[in-house]
This record gives sequence, C-alpha cells and structure tokens, in this order.
Amino acid sequence: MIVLHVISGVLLVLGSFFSLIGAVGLLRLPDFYARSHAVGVADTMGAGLIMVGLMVHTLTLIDSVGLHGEVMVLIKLAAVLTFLLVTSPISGHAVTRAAWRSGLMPVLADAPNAPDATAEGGQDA
Amino acid sequence: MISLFFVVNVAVLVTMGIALSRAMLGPTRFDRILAVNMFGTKTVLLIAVYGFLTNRPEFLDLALVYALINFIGVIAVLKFSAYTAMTDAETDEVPR
Repeated sequence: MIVLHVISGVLLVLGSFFSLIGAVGLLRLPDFYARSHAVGVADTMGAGLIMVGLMVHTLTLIDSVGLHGEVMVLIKLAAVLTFLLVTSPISGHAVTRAAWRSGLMPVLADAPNAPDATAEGGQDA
Repeated sequence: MISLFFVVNVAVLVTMGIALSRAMLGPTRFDRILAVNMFGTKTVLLIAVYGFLTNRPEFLDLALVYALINFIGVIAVLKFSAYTAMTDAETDEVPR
C-alpha cells in the first residue's frame, strides 16, 4: 500500500511544518494575544496532522503484518487526538481570558471596552 | 537511512526549544503559561512519534497521561494566578 505510505508521510511533514510555524510565531509575534493565535495554529494543525499521519501509518502496518494490537494503537491514537482537540481550545481560551481579566492590553490596538482589573478581575480564571 | 519519524521528532524538539525560550523570555506571566502549555502539547507529540520511531507504540499510554497532566496543570496554574495576587512579599509588587 504505497498510497497510504505517501499519505502518512505528507501528513507528518505538514504537521511538522505547522508546528515549526507556530513556534516561530510564538517567538516573533509582538504581544500576548498574537502569540496565543500562533499557539492555536501549532496545537490544532500541528498536533492534528501529526496524529492523523500516525494513524494512517498504523493502517499500513495492519495491511502488511496482520492484526498485532494495531487496532488498540489506533484507538489510543484517536483518544490522544480527541483529547488534544478538546482541551487545547479550552486551555487557550482560559489563558487568554485570564490575561484579559487581569487588565493586559494588546499593543497594536486600543480596545475601548476593556475591563479594569480591580472591578471584574479575579473572579474566576 | 533516516526515518521520517526521526525528522518529525527533530522538528518537534526544535519547537519545544523555541517554546522554552519564549517561556524564559516572556514579558508577562501569561506568555509563560502559554509557552508551557504549547511545550506540554509538543511533549505528547514527541512521545507518540518516538514510540513509532522505536517500533514501540505502547508509548501512547504515556502520551495520553501527559495530555491529561498538561491540561490539569495549566488550569491549576491559571486558578492559582487568579485567586492569589502572586505578590512578592518584600517589595509588594506583582512579578511578571
């Protein structure tokens, strides 16, 4: 199944590419909110593409040598992928909301309705 | 022959290094939390890909546990930074 090998290779390389793009964005973007955007790219596209690439690679293993626990590997990969795709937006949203509640302002825009840290901040994360 | 998994591993390691440098540089504490969050996600990927590199996909159990620990850790640190002032006891300033 050379097609599955090619697909998994392309997915893995694309995932590595998006991961590196997110890292460069995390290092070079100007303020916290822009950096959280870069982290979102690396978390969803990078992790998702690498995990799907690993799943396709596991499919090639099933074809060549038969079932030796590969179905369990597939289930675990799907579990890790699902968990990453659920928790990464939640934690990103939590970090960004905590920063906004604490009064951190973006540097490239003036936000008119920012909450001040004394009135509303510190309620919850 | 260099396996493709080796290349992916190196890319993930470079990403983790850059995330660590942002965690050390980061001007505010939220930058550090964000960088550590990304570092944890990349740790999950690193463990999973390394398991495939060494033909031992049992490492996926470790990846699953790391994903759980990372999420709980980030939420815990955020709750801590929200409910405590994180002030320095001597200077009474909030450290960044």
